[in-house]
Amino acid sequence: MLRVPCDERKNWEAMAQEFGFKFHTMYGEKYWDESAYYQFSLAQIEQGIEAPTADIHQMCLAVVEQVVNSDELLTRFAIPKAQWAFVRKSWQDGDPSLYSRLDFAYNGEGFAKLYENNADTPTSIYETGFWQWMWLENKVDSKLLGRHADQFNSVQEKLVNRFKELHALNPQRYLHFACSKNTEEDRGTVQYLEDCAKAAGVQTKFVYIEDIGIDKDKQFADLDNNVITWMFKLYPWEFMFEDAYGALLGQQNIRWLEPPWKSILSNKALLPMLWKLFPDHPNLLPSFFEDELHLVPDDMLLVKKPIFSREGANISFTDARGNALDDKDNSDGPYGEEGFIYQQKYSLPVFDGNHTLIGSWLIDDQAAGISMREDNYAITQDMSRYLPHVIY
Amino acid sequence: MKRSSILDLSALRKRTRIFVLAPISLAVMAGCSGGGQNEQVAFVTSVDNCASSTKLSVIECQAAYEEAVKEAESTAPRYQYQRDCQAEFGNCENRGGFFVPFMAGYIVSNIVSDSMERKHRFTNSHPSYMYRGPGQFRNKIMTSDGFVVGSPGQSSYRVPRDALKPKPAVTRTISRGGFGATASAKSNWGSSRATSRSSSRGWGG
Repeated sequence: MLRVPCDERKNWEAMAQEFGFKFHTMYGEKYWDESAYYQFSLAQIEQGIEAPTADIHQMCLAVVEQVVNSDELLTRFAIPKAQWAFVRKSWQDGDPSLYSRLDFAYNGEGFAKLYENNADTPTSIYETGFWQWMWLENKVDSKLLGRHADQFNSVQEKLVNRFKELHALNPQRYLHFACSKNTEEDRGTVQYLEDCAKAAGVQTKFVYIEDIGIDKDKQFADLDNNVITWMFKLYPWEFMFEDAYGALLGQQNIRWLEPPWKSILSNKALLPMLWKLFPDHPNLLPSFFEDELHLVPDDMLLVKKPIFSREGANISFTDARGNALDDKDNSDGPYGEEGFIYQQKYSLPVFDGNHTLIGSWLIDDQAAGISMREDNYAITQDMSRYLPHVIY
Repeated sequence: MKRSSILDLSALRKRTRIFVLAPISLAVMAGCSGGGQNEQVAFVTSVDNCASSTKLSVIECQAAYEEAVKEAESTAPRYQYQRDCQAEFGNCENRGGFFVPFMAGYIVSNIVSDSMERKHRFTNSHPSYMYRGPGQFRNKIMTSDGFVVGSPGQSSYRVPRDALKPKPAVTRTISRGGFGATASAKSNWGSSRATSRSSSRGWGG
Protein backbone atom coordinates (compact mmCIF):
# COMPACT_ATOMS: atom_id res chain seq x y z
CA MET A 1 0.00 0.00 0.00
CA LEU A 2 1.56 3.25 -1.18
CA ARG A 3 0.64 6.88 -1.45
CA VAL A 4 1.66 8.09 -4.92
CA PRO A 5 1.70 11.82 -5.74
CA CYS A 6 0.39 12.62 -9.22
CA ASP A 7 -0.78 15.50 -11.39
CA GLU A 8 -4.39 16.56 -11.29
CA ARG A 9 -6.43 16.22 -14.47
CA LYS A 10 -6.45 19.65 -16.06
CA ASN A 11 -10.17 19.71 -16.74
CA TRP A 12 -11.46 18.02 -13.61
CA GLU A 13 -13.28 21.02 -12.18
CA ALA A 14 -15.15 21.55 -15.44
CA MET A 15 -16.07 17.87 -15.41
CA ALA A 16 -17.25 18.15 -11.82
CA GLN A 17 -19.55 20.95 -12.89
CA GLU A 18 -20.86 18.95 -15.82
CA PHE A 19 -21.69 16.01 -13.59
CA GLY A 20 -23.12 18.08 -10.76
CA PHE A 21 -20.38 17.22 -8.25
CA LYS A 22 -20.76 20.41 -6.23
CA PHE A 23 -19.10 19.63 -2.94
CA HIS A 24 -15.55 18.90 -4.12
CA THR A 25 -14.36 21.98 -2.22
CA MET A 26 -15.79 23.02 1.13
CA TYR A 27 -15.04 26.02 3.32
CA GLY A 28 -12.35 26.91 0.82
CA GLU A 29 -10.58 23.59 1.44
CA LYS A 30 -10.14 20.63 -0.82
CA TYR A 31 -12.46 17.71 -0.21
CA TRP A 32 -11.80 15.84 -3.45
CA ASP A 33 -8.01 15.61 -3.70
CA GLU A 34 -6.40 14.01 -6.76
CA SER A 35 -2.91 15.32 -6.13
CA ALA A 36 -2.10 11.77 -4.99
CA TYR A 37 -3.66 8.31 -5.03
CA TYR A 38 -3.33 5.18 -2.94
CA GLN A 39 -2.01 2.04 -4.55
CA PHE A 40 -2.85 -1.49 -3.36
CA SER A 41 -1.87 -4.97 -4.43
CA LEU A 42 -4.70 -7.32 -5.33
CA ALA A 43 -3.90 -9.46 -2.27
CA GLN A 44 -4.14 -6.44 0.01
CA ILE A 45 -7.59 -5.70 -1.39
CA GLU A 46 -8.95 -9.24 -1.49
CA GLN A 47 -7.46 -10.66 1.72
CA GLY A 48 -6.86 -7.47 3.65
CA ILE A 49 -10.19 -5.73 3.06
CA GLU A 50 -12.75 -7.52 0.91
CA ALA A 51 -12.90 -10.81 2.84
CA PRO A 52 -12.99 -9.21 6.34
CA THR A 53 -15.67 -6.77 5.15
CA ALA A 54 -18.03 -9.57 4.18
CA ASP A 55 -17.20 -11.49 7.39
CA ILE A 56 -17.72 -8.55 9.70
CA HIS A 57 -21.03 -7.77 8.06
CA GLN A 58 -22.23 -11.28 8.93
CA MET A 59 -20.94 -10.84 12.48
CA CYS A 60 -22.88 -7.58 12.71
CA LEU A 61 -26.07 -9.32 11.64
CA ALA A 62 -25.49 -11.83 14.46
CA VAL A 63 -25.36 -8.88 16.87
CA VAL A 64 -28.68 -7.54 15.56
CA GLU A 65 -30.25 -10.95 16.14
CA GLN A 66 -29.13 -10.85 19.79
CA VAL A 67 -30.09 -7.24 20.41
CA VAL A 68 -33.63 -7.31 18.99
CA ASN A 69 -34.39 -10.26 21.25
CA SER A 70 -33.24 -8.57 24.45
CA ASP A 71 -34.87 -5.66 26.27
CA GLU A 72 -31.64 -5.18 28.21
CA LEU A 73 -29.55 -4.84 25.06
CA LEU A 74 -32.02 -2.52 23.34
CA THR A 75 -31.71 -0.33 26.43
CA ARG A 76 -27.92 -0.43 26.24
CA PHE A 77 -28.14 0.59 22.61
CA ALA A 78 -30.20 3.63 23.69
CA ILE A 79 -33.07 2.69 21.36
CA PRO A 80 -36.17 4.43 22.81
CA LYS A 81 -38.58 1.89 24.30
CA ALA A 82 -41.41 3.31 22.19
CA GLN A 83 -39.51 2.18 19.05
CA TRP A 84 -38.67 -1.36 20.10
CA ALA A 85 -41.65 -2.95 18.38
CA PHE A 86 -40.92 -0.98 15.19
CA VAL A 87 -37.26 -2.04 15.14
CA ARG A 88 -38.02 -5.65 16.06
CA LYS A 89 -40.70 -6.01 13.42
CA SER A 90 -38.39 -4.77 10.67
CA TRP A 91 -35.82 -7.40 11.63
CA GLN A 92 -38.34 -10.21 12.03
CA ASP A 93 -39.93 -9.32 8.67
CA GLY A 94 -36.51 -9.48 7.03
CA ASP A 95 -36.73 -5.94 5.66
CA PRO A 96 -33.99 -5.68 3.02
CA SER A 97 -31.12 -3.21 3.23
CA LEU A 98 -29.35 -1.26 0.51
CA TYR A 99 -25.85 -0.39 1.68
CA SER A 100 -23.39 0.35 4.47
CA ARG A 101 -19.76 1.32 5.00
CA LEU A 102 -17.26 -0.19 7.43
CA ASP A 103 -14.38 2.05 8.45
CA PHE A 104 -10.98 0.39 8.87
CA ALA A 105 -7.48 1.29 9.99
CA TYR A 106 -5.16 -0.63 7.65
CA ASN A 107 -1.66 0.02 6.35
CA GLY A 108 -1.42 -2.87 3.88
CA GLU A 109 0.09 -5.33 6.35
CA GLY A 110 -1.47 -7.47 9.05
CA PHE A 111 -5.12 -7.15 9.88
CA ALA A 112 -7.43 -4.27 9.05
CA LYS A 113 -9.02 -3.09 12.31
CA LEU A 114 -12.68 -2.09 12.39
CA TYR A 115 -13.29 1.44 13.69
CA GLU A 116 -17.04 1.53 13.20
CA ASN A 117 -19.98 0.65 10.97
CA ASN A 118 -21.83 3.41 9.11
CA ALA A 119 -24.84 1.25 8.42
CA ASP A 120 -27.68 3.75 8.39
CA THR A 121 -26.65 6.95 6.57
CA PRO A 122 -23.26 6.44 4.94
CA THR A 123 -22.08 9.20 2.61
CA SER A 124 -19.29 9.61 0.03
CA ILE A 125 -20.86 6.92 -2.14
CA TYR A 126 -21.03 9.21 -5.20
CA GLU A 127 -17.33 9.99 -4.90
CA THR A 128 -16.68 6.27 -4.54
CA GLY A 129 -19.02 4.60 -7.01
CA PHE A 130 -18.77 7.18 -9.75
CA TRP A 131 -16.26 9.99 -9.36
CA GLN A 132 -13.12 7.99 -8.51
CA TRP A 133 -14.13 5.48 -11.22
CA MET A 134 -14.16 8.36 -13.74
CA TRP A 135 -10.78 9.50 -12.46
CA LEU A 136 -9.26 6.08 -13.22
CA GLU A 137 -10.94 5.91 -16.65
CA ASN A 138 -9.48 9.31 -17.53
CA LYS A 139 -6.03 8.39 -16.21
CA VAL A 140 -5.96 5.17 -18.23
CA ASP A 141 -7.37 6.85 -21.36
CA SER A 142 -4.65 9.49 -21.21
CA LYS A 143 -2.04 6.73 -20.68
CA LEU A 144 -0.93 8.16 -17.33
CA LEU A 145 -1.80 4.79 -15.79
CA GLY A 146 -1.41 1.43 -17.52
CA ARG A 147 -4.30 -0.58 -18.93
CA HIS A 148 -3.92 -3.10 -16.11
CA ALA A 149 -4.64 -0.46 -13.46
CA ASP A 150 -7.77 -1.53 -11.60
CA GLN A 151 -9.84 -0.29 -8.69
CA PHE A 152 -11.82 -2.04 -5.96
CA ASN A 153 -15.06 -0.43 -6.99
CA SER A 154 -18.11 -2.20 -8.36
CA VAL A 155 -20.26 0.04 -6.19
CA GLN A 156 -22.41 1.59 -8.91
CA GLU A 157 -22.97 -1.67 -10.79
CA LYS A 158 -23.96 -3.42 -7.57
CA LEU A 159 -26.18 -0.52 -6.50
CA VAL A 160 -28.16 -0.66 -9.73
CA ASN A 161 -28.47 -4.44 -9.45
CA ARG A 162 -29.58 -4.12 -5.83
CA PHE A 163 -32.23 -1.58 -6.81
CA LYS A 164 -33.47 -4.04 -9.44
CA GLU A 165 -33.94 -6.66 -6.71
CA LEU A 166 -35.67 -4.16 -4.45
CA HIS A 167 -37.87 -3.04 -7.36
CA ALA A 168 -38.98 -6.63 -7.86
CA LEU A 169 -40.06 -6.71 -4.19
CA ASN A 170 -41.94 -3.41 -4.57
CA PRO A 171 -43.09 -3.31 -8.19
CA GLN A 172 -46.05 -0.99 -7.54
CA ARG A 173 -44.40 1.53 -5.22
CA TYR A 174 -42.74 4.85 -5.82
CA LEU A 175 -39.46 5.23 -3.99
CA HIS A 176 -39.20 8.59 -2.24
CA PHE A 177 -35.67 9.86 -1.59
CA ALA A 178 -35.21 12.24 1.34
CA CYS A 179 -32.53 14.23 3.12
CA SER A 180 -32.25 17.38 5.25
CA LYS A 181 -32.39 20.84 3.71
CA ASN A 182 -29.29 23.01 3.36
CA THR A 183 -26.80 20.18 2.98
CA GLU A 184 -25.33 20.14 -0.49
CA GLU A 185 -23.40 16.97 0.21
CA ASP A 186 -26.43 15.00 1.37
CA ARG A 187 -28.51 16.31 -1.52
CA GLY A 188 -25.82 15.18 -3.95
CA THR A 189 -25.59 11.76 -2.33
CA VAL A 190 -29.34 11.24 -2.48
CA GLN A 191 -29.47 12.44 -6.11
CA TYR A 192 -26.86 9.86 -7.02
CA LEU A 193 -28.77 7.04 -5.35
CA GLU A 194 -31.96 8.23 -7.03
CA ASP A 195 -30.17 8.12 -10.42
CA CYS A 196 -29.09 4.54 -9.68
CA ALA A 197 -32.64 3.58 -8.69
CA LYS A 198 -34.01 5.09 -11.90
CA ALA A 199 -31.44 3.19 -13.92
CA ALA A 200 -32.87 0.04 -12.31
CA GLY A 201 -36.39 0.96 -13.45
CA VAL A 202 -37.66 2.21 -10.09
CA GLN A 203 -40.10 5.14 -10.14
CA THR A 204 -38.76 7.82 -7.83
CA LYS A 205 -39.63 11.13 -6.18
CA PHE A 206 -37.70 13.45 -3.87
CA VAL A 207 -38.83 15.18 -0.68
CA TYR A 208 -36.90 17.05 2.00
CA ILE A 209 -37.19 15.46 5.44
CA GLU A 210 -38.54 18.75 6.84
CA ASP A 211 -41.29 18.89 4.19
CA ILE A 212 -42.83 15.52 5.01
CA GLY A 213 -46.43 15.81 6.18
CA ILE A 214 -49.09 13.51 7.59
CA ASP A 215 -52.73 12.95 6.71
CA LYS A 216 -55.55 12.07 9.10
CA ASP A 217 -54.65 8.37 8.90
CA LYS A 218 -51.06 9.15 9.96
CA GLN A 219 -49.72 8.32 6.52
CA PHE A 220 -46.67 10.31 5.48
CA ALA A 221 -46.95 12.49 2.37
CA ASP A 222 -44.66 14.59 0.17
CA LEU A 223 -45.23 18.19 -0.98
CA ASP A 224 -47.52 16.99 -3.81
CA ASN A 225 -49.63 15.18 -1.19
CA ASN A 226 -48.52 11.86 -2.62
CA VAL A 227 -48.59 9.14 0.00
CA ILE A 228 -45.13 7.78 0.83
CA THR A 229 -45.00 4.00 0.69
CA TRP A 230 -41.30 3.35 0.15
CA MET A 231 -38.60 5.70 1.34
CA PHE A 232 -34.84 6.08 1.30
CA LYS A 233 -33.85 8.59 4.00
CA LEU A 234 -30.37 9.97 4.45
CA TYR A 235 -31.33 11.00 7.95
CA PRO A 236 -30.40 8.98 11.03
CA TRP A 237 -32.95 6.71 12.67
CA GLU A 238 -32.00 8.03 16.10
CA PHE A 239 -33.04 11.52 14.94
CA MET A 240 -36.30 10.23 13.46
CA PHE A 241 -37.07 8.50 16.76
CA GLU A 242 -36.68 11.82 18.60
CA ASP A 243 -38.58 13.98 16.09
CA ALA A 244 -42.28 14.83 16.58
CA TYR A 245 -43.43 12.31 13.96
CA GLY A 246 -41.24 9.65 15.55
CA ALA A 247 -44.14 8.65 17.78
CA LEU A 248 -46.12 7.73 14.63
CA LEU A 249 -43.50 5.39 13.16
CA GLY A 250 -44.74 1.88 12.54
CA GLN A 251 -48.33 2.94 11.85
CA GLN A 252 -47.76 3.29 8.09
CA ASN A 253 -47.36 0.73 5.34
CA ILE A 254 -43.88 1.97 4.40
CA ARG A 255 -40.79 0.06 3.29
CA TRP A 256 -37.74 1.87 4.63
CA LEU A 257 -34.21 2.18 3.30
CA GLU A 258 -32.27 1.72 5.38
CA PRO A 259 -34.65 -0.48 7.39
CA PRO A 260 -35.24 0.35 11.10
CA TRP A 261 -33.06 -2.55 12.29
CA LYS A 262 -30.06 -0.62 10.93
CA SER A 263 -30.41 1.62 14.01
CA ILE A 264 -28.68 -1.20 15.88
CA LEU A 265 -25.70 -1.35 13.49
CA SER A 266 -25.05 2.37 13.07
CA ASN A 267 -24.78 2.51 16.84
CA LYS A 268 -21.40 2.50 18.60
CA ALA A 269 -22.75 0.00 21.15
CA LEU A 270 -22.26 -2.44 18.28
CA LEU A 271 -18.50 -2.39 18.98
CA PRO A 272 -18.50 -3.84 22.54
CA MET A 273 -21.19 -6.31 21.45
CA LEU A 274 -19.03 -7.55 18.56
CA TRP A 275 -16.12 -7.96 20.99
CA LYS A 276 -18.33 -9.97 23.37
CA LEU A 277 -19.64 -12.29 20.64
CA PHE A 278 -16.38 -12.61 18.70
CA PRO A 279 -13.60 -12.02 21.28
CA ASP A 280 -10.08 -11.74 19.89
CA HIS A 281 -11.27 -11.65 16.29
CA PRO A 282 -8.23 -10.30 14.40
CA ASN A 283 -10.21 -7.52 12.67
CA LEU A 284 -11.79 -6.23 15.88
CA LEU A 285 -10.41 -3.90 18.52
CA PRO A 286 -11.21 -4.66 22.20
CA SER A 287 -14.27 -2.57 23.08
CA PHE A 288 -16.21 -2.01 26.30
CA PHE A 289 -19.39 -0.51 27.71
CA GLU A 290 -18.96 2.13 30.43
CA ASP A 291 -19.65 -0.38 33.23
CA GLU A 292 -17.03 -2.81 31.90
CA LEU A 293 -13.91 -0.66 32.31
CA HIS A 294 -12.69 -2.93 35.12
CA LEU A 295 -12.06 -5.53 32.40
CA VAL A 296 -9.58 -3.28 30.59
CA PRO A 297 -5.86 -4.13 31.06
CA ASP A 298 -4.11 -1.35 33.01
CA ASP A 299 -1.80 -0.30 30.22
CA MET A 300 -4.42 -0.11 27.45
CA LEU A 301 -5.25 3.33 26.12
CA LEU A 302 -8.82 3.88 25.02
CA VAL A 303 -10.90 6.00 22.68
CA LYS A 304 -14.19 7.19 24.14
CA LYS A 305 -17.01 7.41 21.57
CA PRO A 306 -20.62 8.54 22.03
CA ILE A 307 -23.17 5.87 21.15
CA PHE A 308 -24.69 8.07 18.41
CA SER A 309 -21.68 10.05 17.17
CA ARG A 310 -21.36 10.96 13.47
CA GLU A 311 -18.44 12.30 11.45
CA GLY A 312 -15.95 11.78 14.27
CA ALA A 313 -17.62 14.19 16.71
CA ASN A 314 -17.20 14.09 20.52
CA ILE A 315 -14.33 11.61 20.47
CA SER A 316 -11.63 11.70 23.16
CA PHE A 317 -8.72 9.61 24.41
CA THR A 318 -8.67 8.10 27.92
CA ASP A 319 -6.59 5.79 30.08
CA ALA A 320 -7.72 2.27 30.95
CA ARG A 321 -10.10 3.55 33.65
CA GLY A 322 -11.77 6.07 31.38
CA ASN A 323 -9.96 9.16 32.70
CA ALA A 324 -9.58 11.78 30.00
CA LEU A 325 -6.12 12.34 28.59
CA ASP A 326 -5.33 15.84 27.51
CA ASP A 327 -4.89 15.44 23.78
CA LYS A 328 -4.87 17.98 20.98
CA ASP A 329 -6.75 15.51 18.82
CA ASN A 330 -9.85 15.28 21.05
CA SER A 331 -12.91 16.45 19.12
CA ASP A 332 -16.02 18.19 20.37
CA GLY A 333 -19.57 18.12 19.08
CA PRO A 334 -23.24 17.74 19.97
CA TYR A 335 -23.34 14.07 20.99
CA GLY A 336 -22.96 12.05 24.17
CA GLU A 337 -26.18 12.48 26.18
CA GLU A 338 -27.05 8.89 25.33
CA GLY A 339 -23.82 7.46 26.83
CA PHE A 340 -20.43 6.31 25.58
CA ILE A 341 -18.47 3.21 24.69
CA TYR A 342 -14.69 2.65 24.86
CA GLN A 343 -12.51 1.12 22.18
CA GLN A 344 -8.81 0.32 22.32
CA LYS A 345 -6.79 3.20 20.92
CA TYR A 346 -5.37 2.11 17.59
CA SER A 347 -3.82 4.81 15.46
CA LEU A 348 -4.47 5.29 11.79
CA PRO A 349 -1.47 4.69 9.56
CA VAL A 350 0.34 7.85 8.46
CA PHE A 351 1.36 8.38 4.82
CA ASP A 352 3.38 11.52 4.02
CA GLY A 353 2.04 13.09 7.20
CA ASN A 354 -1.58 12.21 6.48
CA HIS A 355 -3.75 10.01 8.70
CA THR A 356 -5.52 7.57 6.38
CA LEU A 357 -8.85 5.84 6.90
CA ILE A 358 -10.32 3.20 4.59
CA GLY A 359 -14.09 3.03 4.11
CA SER A 360 -15.18 -0.36 2.83
CA TRP A 361 -18.58 -0.44 1.14
CA LEU A 362 -21.19 -3.14 1.22
CA ILE A 363 -24.11 -3.27 -1.16
CA ASP A 364 -26.54 -5.41 0.78
CA ASP A 365 -24.16 -8.13 2.04
CA GLN A 366 -21.52 -7.95 -0.70
CA ALA A 367 -18.22 -6.11 -0.32
CA ALA A 368 -18.24 -3.68 -3.24
CA GLY A 369 -15.39 -1.17 -3.05
CA ILE A 370 -13.41 1.26 -0.95
CA SER A 371 -13.04 4.96 -0.31
CA MET A 372 -9.86 6.62 1.00
CA ARG A 373 -10.03 9.52 3.44
CA GLU A 374 -7.09 11.59 4.70
CA ASP A 375 -6.85 14.00 7.56
CA ASN A 376 -4.15 16.11 9.23
CA TYR A 377 -5.46 14.86 12.58
CA ALA A 378 -5.65 11.39 14.13
CA ILE A 379 -9.47 11.48 14.21
CA THR A 380 -10.84 11.80 10.71
CA GLN A 381 -13.80 14.14 10.59
CA ASP A 382 -16.22 15.55 8.12
CA MET A 383 -13.54 17.71 6.50
CA SER A 384 -11.24 14.78 5.73
CA ARG A 385 -10.06 14.78 2.12
CA TYR A 386 -11.18 12.11 -0.33
CA LEU A 387 -8.47 10.51 -2.50
CA PRO A 388 -8.80 7.95 -5.29
CA HIS A 389 -7.07 4.56 -5.26
CA VAL A 390 -5.83 1.94 -7.71
CA ILE A 391 -4.99 -1.74 -7.67
CA TYR A 392 -1.72 -2.08 -9.54
CA MET B 1 -11.57 -6.83 -12.77
CA LYS B 2 -12.57 -5.39 -9.40
CA ARG B 3 -14.43 -2.39 -10.75
CA SER B 4 -17.66 -1.67 -12.63
CA SER B 5 -16.96 -2.36 -16.30
CA ILE B 6 -19.10 0.30 -17.95
CA LEU B 7 -21.18 3.00 -16.32
CA ASP B 8 -24.03 4.76 -18.08
CA LEU B 9 -22.94 8.36 -17.77
CA SER B 10 -25.87 10.04 -19.48
CA ALA B 11 -28.08 10.01 -16.40
CA LEU B 12 -25.27 11.47 -14.31
CA ARG B 13 -24.68 14.52 -16.47
CA LYS B 14 -26.61 17.16 -14.59
CA ARG B 15 -26.20 20.15 -16.81
CA THR B 16 -28.46 18.85 -19.54
CA ARG B 17 -31.23 17.62 -17.24
CA ILE B 18 -34.65 18.81 -18.31
CA PHE B 19 -37.26 19.69 -15.72
CA VAL B 20 -40.95 19.90 -16.44
CA LEU B 21 -42.69 22.68 -14.56
CA ALA B 22 -45.96 21.61 -13.06
CA PRO B 23 -49.06 23.82 -13.02
CA ILE B 24 -50.62 24.05 -9.57
CA SER B 25 -53.50 21.68 -10.08
CA LEU B 26 -52.14 19.28 -12.65
CA ALA B 27 -48.80 18.30 -14.03
CA VAL B 28 -49.28 18.27 -17.78
CA MET B 29 -46.62 16.09 -19.37
CA ALA B 30 -47.71 16.12 -22.98
CA GLY B 31 -45.01 15.32 -25.46
CA CYS B 32 -42.50 14.45 -22.77
CA SER B 33 -41.83 10.93 -23.86
CA GLY B 34 -38.29 11.01 -22.50
CA GLY B 35 -37.05 8.74 -25.23
CA GLY B 36 -38.13 5.62 -23.34
CA GLN B 37 -39.91 2.66 -24.86
CA ASN B 38 -43.40 3.14 -26.20
CA GLU B 39 -46.37 0.90 -25.76
CA GLN B 40 -49.55 0.59 -27.73
CA VAL B 41 -52.75 1.21 -25.78
CA ALA B 42 -56.44 1.57 -26.51
CA PHE B 43 -58.80 4.04 -24.91
CA VAL B 44 -62.13 2.42 -24.10
CA THR B 45 -65.24 3.88 -22.50
CA SER B 46 -66.82 0.69 -21.13
CA VAL B 47 -66.30 -3.05 -20.78
CA ASP B 48 -68.45 -3.63 -23.86
CA ASN B 49 -66.52 -1.02 -25.82
CA CYS B 50 -63.30 -2.71 -24.71
CA ALA B 51 -64.44 -6.17 -25.77
CA SER B 52 -65.68 -4.99 -29.15
CA SER B 53 -62.81 -2.67 -30.06
CA THR B 54 -59.80 -4.63 -28.80
CA LYS B 55 -58.78 -8.27 -28.95
CA LEU B 56 -59.22 -8.65 -25.20
CA SER B 57 -61.95 -10.95 -23.91
CA VAL B 58 -64.92 -9.70 -21.90
CA ILE B 59 -63.36 -11.22 -18.77
CA GLU B 60 -60.06 -9.43 -19.43
CA CYS B 61 -61.90 -6.19 -20.14
CA GLN B 62 -63.90 -6.49 -16.92
CA ALA B 63 -60.72 -7.12 -14.89
CA ALA B 64 -59.04 -4.15 -16.55
CA TYR B 65 -62.03 -1.94 -15.74
CA GLU B 66 -62.00 -2.97 -12.09
CA GLU B 67 -58.28 -2.32 -11.88
CA ALA B 68 -58.77 1.17 -13.33
CA VAL B 69 -61.60 2.01 -10.94
CA LYS B 70 -59.53 0.86 -7.97
CA GLU B 71 -56.58 2.91 -9.09
CA ALA B 72 -58.78 5.97 -9.62
CA GLU B 73 -59.84 5.83 -5.98
CA SER B 74 -56.34 6.73 -4.88
CA THR B 75 -54.87 8.61 -7.84
CA ALA B 76 -57.67 10.70 -9.40
CA PRO B 77 -56.85 14.44 -9.62
CA ARG B 78 -58.26 16.08 -6.49
CA TYR B 79 -59.69 19.53 -6.03
CA GLN B 80 -60.78 21.35 -2.96
CA TYR B 81 -63.52 23.22 -4.84
CA GLN B 82 -66.01 21.84 -7.31
CA ARG B 83 -65.63 24.82 -9.63
CA ASP B 84 -61.89 24.17 -10.01
CA CYS B 85 -62.52 20.54 -10.86
CA GLN B 86 -65.28 21.42 -13.33
CA ALA B 87 -63.10 24.05 -14.98
CA GLU B 88 -60.63 21.34 -15.95
CA PHE B 89 -62.72 18.19 -16.26
CA GLY B 90 -66.37 19.14 -16.61
CA ASN B 91 -68.23 16.49 -14.65
CA CYS B 92 -66.96 15.99 -11.12
CA GLU B 93 -68.18 14.28 -7.97
CA ASN B 94 -67.61 14.85 -4.27
CA ARG B 95 -65.56 12.08 -2.76
CA GLY B 96 -64.72 12.33 0.92
CA GLY B 97 -64.47 16.12 0.93
CA PHE B 98 -62.60 16.35 -2.38
CA PHE B 99 -63.88 16.84 -5.86
CA VAL B 100 -62.64 14.39 -8.47
CA PRO B 101 -63.54 14.06 -12.17
CA PHE B 102 -65.65 11.16 -13.42
CA MET B 103 -63.63 8.61 -15.34
CA ALA B 104 -64.19 9.06 -19.04
CA GLY B 105 -62.91 5.55 -19.59
CA TYR B 106 -59.69 3.65 -19.21
CA ILE B 107 -56.65 2.85 -21.25
CA VAL B 108 -55.57 -0.75 -21.68
CA SER B 109 -52.30 -2.07 -22.99
CA ASN B 110 -51.42 -5.41 -24.59
CA ILE B 111 -54.32 -4.98 -26.92
CA VAL B 112 -52.59 -6.70 -29.80
CA SER B 113 -53.36 -10.36 -29.41
CA ASP B 114 -50.59 -12.62 -30.51
CA SER B 115 -50.24 -16.31 -29.86
CA MET B 116 -46.55 -15.98 -29.04
CA GLU B 117 -47.13 -13.21 -26.54
CA ARG B 118 -50.33 -14.49 -25.13
CA LYS B 119 -48.72 -16.88 -22.70
CA HIS B 120 -46.78 -14.14 -20.96
CA ARG B 121 -48.94 -11.13 -21.36
CA PHE B 122 -50.79 -9.36 -18.64
CA THR B 123 -53.17 -6.52 -19.17
CA ASN B 124 -52.30 -3.13 -17.82
CA SER B 125 -55.02 -0.54 -17.35
CA HIS B 126 -55.32 2.99 -16.01
CA PRO B 127 -58.22 5.38 -15.41
CA SER B 128 -58.51 8.19 -17.94
CA TYR B 129 -60.30 11.51 -17.99
CA MET B 130 -61.38 13.98 -20.62
CA TYR B 131 -59.67 17.32 -20.18
CA ARG B 132 -62.14 20.20 -20.62
CA GLY B 133 -59.98 23.11 -19.60
CA PRO B 134 -58.79 25.83 -21.97
CA GLY B 135 -55.68 25.52 -24.10
CA GLN B 136 -54.12 22.96 -26.37
CA PHE B 137 -55.17 19.95 -24.28
CA ARG B 138 -58.88 20.70 -24.41
CA ASN B 139 -60.94 17.56 -25.22
CA LYS B 140 -57.93 15.32 -25.00
CA ILE B 141 -57.69 12.06 -23.05
CA MET B 142 -55.55 12.43 -19.93
CA THR B 143 -54.37 10.07 -17.18
CA SER B 144 -54.40 10.80 -13.43
CA ASP B 145 -51.04 12.46 -13.36
CA GLY B 146 -51.71 14.71 -16.35
CA PHE B 147 -50.22 12.60 -19.11
CA VAL B 148 -51.97 13.45 -22.38
CA VAL B 149 -52.84 10.30 -24.33
CA GLY B 150 -54.36 12.03 -27.36
CA SER B 151 -57.68 12.96 -28.98
CA PRO B 152 -60.50 10.44 -28.71
CA GLY B 153 -61.45 8.38 -31.75
CA GLN B 154 -58.21 6.60 -32.59
CA SER B 155 -58.15 2.82 -32.50
CA SER B 156 -54.87 2.88 -30.60
CA TYR B 157 -52.30 5.27 -29.12
CA ARG B 158 -48.57 5.00 -28.60
CA VAL B 159 -47.56 6.09 -25.11
CA PRO B 160 -44.26 5.84 -23.24
CA ARG B 161 -44.13 2.86 -20.95
CA ASP B 162 -43.54 5.13 -17.95
CA ALA B 163 -46.98 6.65 -18.39
CA LEU B 164 -48.49 3.22 -17.79
CA LYS B 165 -46.75 2.58 -14.51
CA PRO B 166 -48.69 2.82 -11.24
CA LYS B 167 -49.08 6.30 -9.76
CA PRO B 168 -48.60 7.18 -6.09
CA ALA B 169 -51.77 7.73 -4.10
CA VAL B 170 -52.83 11.29 -3.27
CA THR B 171 -53.97 12.33 0.18
CA ARG B 172 -54.83 15.46 2.15
CA THR B 173 -51.97 16.51 4.39
CA ILE B 174 -53.01 17.94 7.75
CA SER B 175 -49.60 18.90 9.12
CA ARG B 176 -45.96 19.12 8.03
CA GLY B 177 -42.58 19.53 9.62
CA GLY B 178 -42.61 16.66 12.12
CA PHE B 179 -39.23 15.41 10.97
CA GLY B 180 -35.96 17.32 11.01
CA ALA B 181 -35.97 19.12 14.36
CA THR B 182 -33.38 16.86 15.97
CA ALA B 183 -30.91 17.60 13.19
CA SER B 184 -31.36 21.35 13.46
CA ALA B 185 -30.84 21.19 17.25
CA LYS B 186 -27.55 19.37 16.70
CA SER B 187 -26.47 21.71 13.94
CA ASN B 188 -25.83 24.51 16.44
CA TRP B 189 -22.54 22.76 16.97
CA GLY B 190 -19.70 23.26 14.61
CA SER B 191 -17.22 20.48 14.13
CA SER B 192 -13.97 21.24 15.89
CA ARG B 193 -12.24 22.51 12.77
CA ALA B 194 -14.93 23.90 10.54
CA THR B 195 -16.24 27.16 11.93
CA SER B 196 -19.87 26.35 11.29
CA ARG B 197 -21.80 23.32 10.22
CA SER B 198 -23.91 24.73 7.47
CA SER B 199 -24.30 24.91 3.72
CA SER B 200 -22.63 21.72 2.63
CA ARG B 201 -22.05 19.16 5.35
CA GLY B 202 -24.84 16.77 6.09
CA TRP B 203 -26.00 14.09 8.50
CA GLY B 204 -24.44 11.16 6.81
CA GLY B 205 -21.25 9.71 8.21
